Amino acid sequence: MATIEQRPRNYYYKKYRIAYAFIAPTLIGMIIMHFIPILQGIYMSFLSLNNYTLSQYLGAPMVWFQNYYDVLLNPSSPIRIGLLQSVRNTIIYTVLVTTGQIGLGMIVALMLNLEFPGRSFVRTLFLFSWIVPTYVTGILWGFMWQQSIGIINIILVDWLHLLPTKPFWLVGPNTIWAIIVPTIWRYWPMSMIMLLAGLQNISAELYDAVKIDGANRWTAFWKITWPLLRPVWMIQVLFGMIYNVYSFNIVIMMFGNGAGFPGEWGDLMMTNIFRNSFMRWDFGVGAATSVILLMFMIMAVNIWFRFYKKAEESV
Amino acid sequence: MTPKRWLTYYQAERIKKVGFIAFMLVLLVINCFPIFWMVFSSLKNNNDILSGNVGFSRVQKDVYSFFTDKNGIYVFSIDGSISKYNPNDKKLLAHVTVKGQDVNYAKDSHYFYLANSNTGIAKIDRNSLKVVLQTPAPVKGYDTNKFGNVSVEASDNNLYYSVEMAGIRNIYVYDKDALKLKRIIQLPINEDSMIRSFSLKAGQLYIGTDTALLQFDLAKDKIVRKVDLGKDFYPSGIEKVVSIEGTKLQLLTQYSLFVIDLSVQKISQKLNFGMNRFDDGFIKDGNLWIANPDGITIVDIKTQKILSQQGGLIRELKDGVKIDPQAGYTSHEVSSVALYGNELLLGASYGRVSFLRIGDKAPYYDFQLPKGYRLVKWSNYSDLWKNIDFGLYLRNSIIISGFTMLFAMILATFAAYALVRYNFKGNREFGIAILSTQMIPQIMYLIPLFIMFKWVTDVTGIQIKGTFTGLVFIYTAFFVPFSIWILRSFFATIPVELEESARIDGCNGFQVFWKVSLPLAIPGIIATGIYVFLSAWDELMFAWVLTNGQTMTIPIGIRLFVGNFQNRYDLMMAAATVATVPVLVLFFLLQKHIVKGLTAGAVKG
Repeated sequence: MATIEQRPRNYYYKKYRIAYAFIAPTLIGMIIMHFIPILQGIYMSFLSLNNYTLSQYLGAPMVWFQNYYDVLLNPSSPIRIGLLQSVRNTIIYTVLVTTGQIGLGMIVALMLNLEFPGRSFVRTLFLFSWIVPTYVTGILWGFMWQQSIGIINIILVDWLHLLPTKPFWLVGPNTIWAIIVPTIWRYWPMSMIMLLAGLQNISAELYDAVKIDGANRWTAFWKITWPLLRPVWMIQVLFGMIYNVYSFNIVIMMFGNGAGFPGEWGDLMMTNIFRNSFMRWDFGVGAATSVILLMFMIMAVNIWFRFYKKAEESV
Repeated sequence: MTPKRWLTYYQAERIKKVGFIAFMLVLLVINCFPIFWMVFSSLKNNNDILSGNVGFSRVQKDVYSFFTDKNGIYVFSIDGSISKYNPNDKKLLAHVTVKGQDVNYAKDSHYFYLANSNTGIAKIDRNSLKVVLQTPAPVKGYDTNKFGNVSVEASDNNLYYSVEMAGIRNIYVYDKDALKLKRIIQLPINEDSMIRSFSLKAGQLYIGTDTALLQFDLAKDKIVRKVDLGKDFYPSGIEKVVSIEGTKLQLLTQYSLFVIDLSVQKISQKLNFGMNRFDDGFIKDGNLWIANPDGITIVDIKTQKILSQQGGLIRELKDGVKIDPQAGYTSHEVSSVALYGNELLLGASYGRVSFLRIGDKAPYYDFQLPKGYRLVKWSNYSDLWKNIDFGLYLRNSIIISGFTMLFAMILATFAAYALVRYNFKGNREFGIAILSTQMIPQIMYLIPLFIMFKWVTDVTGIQIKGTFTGLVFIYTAFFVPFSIWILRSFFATIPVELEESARIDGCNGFQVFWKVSLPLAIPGIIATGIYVFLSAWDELMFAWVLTNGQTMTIPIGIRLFVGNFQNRYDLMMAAATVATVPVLVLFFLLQKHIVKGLTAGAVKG
């Protein structure tokens, strides 16, 4: 500990030439693959870039804010209605999935934090769902949600008799659940692993102290564990927010393996933009929608960052 | 005074413990269930999946045909089983099953030859019903579900085999004793035509193809006649050659009776039965007796008229076999009929056999064949490569993910080290830039890149879309920032003192990195590399837009199993399992490192 205190900065060497050489390839790559495309993307959102003008590249006719108007304000535009639905779905989806994966992750992390034989084996088994590729997750759950032949309806209706008739999961308002559950299933072990790592950093003495004060486990959790884990779960909230708002693979693969339309209650922002761009070949609208999405994300991350700072100061 | 407990402390603790274990087990089972279901479904028959059967169903035991001699009654069923019964007391004497599909049978004086499209030909001793010899199927490289009927006929020395499959125009000739492939007869028929089925009569092999009838002379060993009959010749799979009188040839096909005038090469008469049968019936007193689903149809061979149609000959079965309501059967359907002395043998679906005296309205005895085996289709795992070009997609995925991992690791290692160890100008900004790339939606890059690639191709003629290079380049660029972020935490754990001492020993900046830090960071680099590999393996959106038929990766290719052309959930689940297994293995090999790297990055922020 002493040496680190003496050397407040992590950086050690002061000859920078080699450092620039080290980051140069990455920097060039980022300029070509990140910086230039983003600038182009913003520019393209002002162009009428569709199947006919595609070959003109950046010389496509400039329509200024027409795409934004179509997406946000134009009451006769079908794109706007589709987008509003997908925004609503994305918000519901993101909130529920993030809550679900952190909640479930917290419960299992608390269980795995206890000592019991075979703990690491159980932990590995819990990680199973996290390893399945997301496109497989989409295909698999799309297969399981099928109305008449899907195993979920067979279990719920034929075996457990929880529902009177087999509901349609991939059509109509149920769709939102059909996309939320698999996403939680796929991502919760990630939250669990992070929270477990955080839990193992909390010293047992703290719990002993509150036990003497007569607190039960419930209050100990809310008074000690939850506040002390705040940095961990707040980062999980950020991750969840970014991942889930940009969620694409699971949802697109669940409906006709990408060929189908997820429906009014299953369409997310990303699937909406992808469909507008690469199936309707209207890249201007696609670019405009992604710029709007990016703006919202920047705002959301800024808000998150304020909370995070506050949390860091309070700890 | 402590309040009185209704359970003792130890009882309460025990209940808590049991509850804890039960809760965890339930969670585990629920969490692992989808993966189990994927693997389980990949071993099922597609028809079972599509009809909503949960378990492995038994194969159907529909009776294919009969054979009788003085020792017994032999019942052949379509799942590839032969059962031998005592003709007097109707007891099962022997039973054999050769697993396979599209089974057909040939007989000679000592042996039965059981042929199917996936396990080949089996030679079975007639007395003991033991498999004497077995040879693999000659036609390979096709999805087994796409095969139709297998035809097999035995002559004195040879065995003739063919399978109904688009593009197959061969008859395979086997030596009957050793079951060795002797030669292949290639039929002079159109590219798009195929052999439906053939039948042997008087040293002549009559072969029905889509539009033509071919006659192969066994003695001359060549095709002696080809009759083009056109579209009217349907169904053209020949079950039996009923009679030959001069130039008049009478053929029984799957559900029609044809009279073909060989002199003018035309169909002179056609009688449709409109039913599905398996067997070729028998001829008694100039009449042809064949099965119809309800009973027996008798046709006068001379006049080609249906003399009578006897129905209701099968008694409803009360027990013995459970009829699946989803399979569409309401009762047993007669599928074959045979003559045994003065009695009729009726074979029906679900392995039902009835004995009937000619003229009687009801059978006097019924029995049931032994139950079929449960069909666990391991063949799905070999079919999936043949149904679509899944091997190519797997190879593409491995190449693209592998190179992405390699390049991303090279770039990220250098950059991460520089970020951790050097306080260069712009260090902080570079770090922020790396983090903020994670915040931008990928489609934001995809749209401009797609159009840019198209433009570059239009202007310079260099193809980027649809090449490995383009995709590897993009993936590398996208996974480098995240890799840097994880690798930073690995480099940060390497003590600075080690590098200091190396410097004192005279190493320059690069040597310190290369000889001291890099070897120490190798576990972290490998773990991060695996994570990059998994991410590239999982990538869908870019691959969707930027690949073509030759460079498709698994997520794009796997969609072809279910869609416009086919509905093969069984193969799709098998392919999904195949796509998950490498990932699973890689992850478990390096689980500790990956988890450590990710948690270190996340917990520290």
